[in-house]
Amino acid sequence: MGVPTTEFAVTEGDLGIVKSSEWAERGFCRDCGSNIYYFAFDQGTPSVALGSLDDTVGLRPRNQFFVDKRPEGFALGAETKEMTEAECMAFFAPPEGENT
Amino acid sequence: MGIQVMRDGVTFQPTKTLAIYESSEWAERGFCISCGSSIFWRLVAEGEMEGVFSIAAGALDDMSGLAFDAEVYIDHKPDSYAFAGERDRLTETEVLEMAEFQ
Repeated sequence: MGVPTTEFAVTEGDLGIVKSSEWAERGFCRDCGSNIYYFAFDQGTPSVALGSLDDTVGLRPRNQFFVDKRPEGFALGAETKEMTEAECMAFFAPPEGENT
Repeated sequence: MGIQVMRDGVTFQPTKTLAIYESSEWAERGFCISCGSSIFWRLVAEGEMEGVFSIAAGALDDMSGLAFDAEVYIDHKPDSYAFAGERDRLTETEVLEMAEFQ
């Protein structure tokens, strides 16, 4: 779930941060491994892991990413915007430099 | 999503990055201390099922051939989403009854 950076802060616990790609980082709990957030820097809004929230009333999925990488037999029972791996990379990854 | 594997069905190479969290009285969870990735849930309570793993599906390179056949703790699922398809869906009570922890 996307939240404005001004509305999100980790106030306790041992937060681990990993630079998961060139364009994003992931926050997790170093005590138990729980996912806390995904933050694509250019997007400006961290995505907070749904399972880390106490109250999810009223929230609905709107996007699915890397949909061509879904395991067999796995699908959400909801219509959402979908992006394949190629579409995600085109959207999130920085453009290649002229010299590559 | 987890894949049930019987006791001794998995071996781990020695590593400094596998961390263990005691998630309940009867089970522990293994995860990567470098990136937070879930690796497994393992039953530690004494009994027939002691040592049984649920290996995180995402930790595998290849999930082909695996069937998504059950959902557990379905009464704790947020209303906001659901998986499509038909399969067993067990509540917390049903899971604990199966494990004879009540």
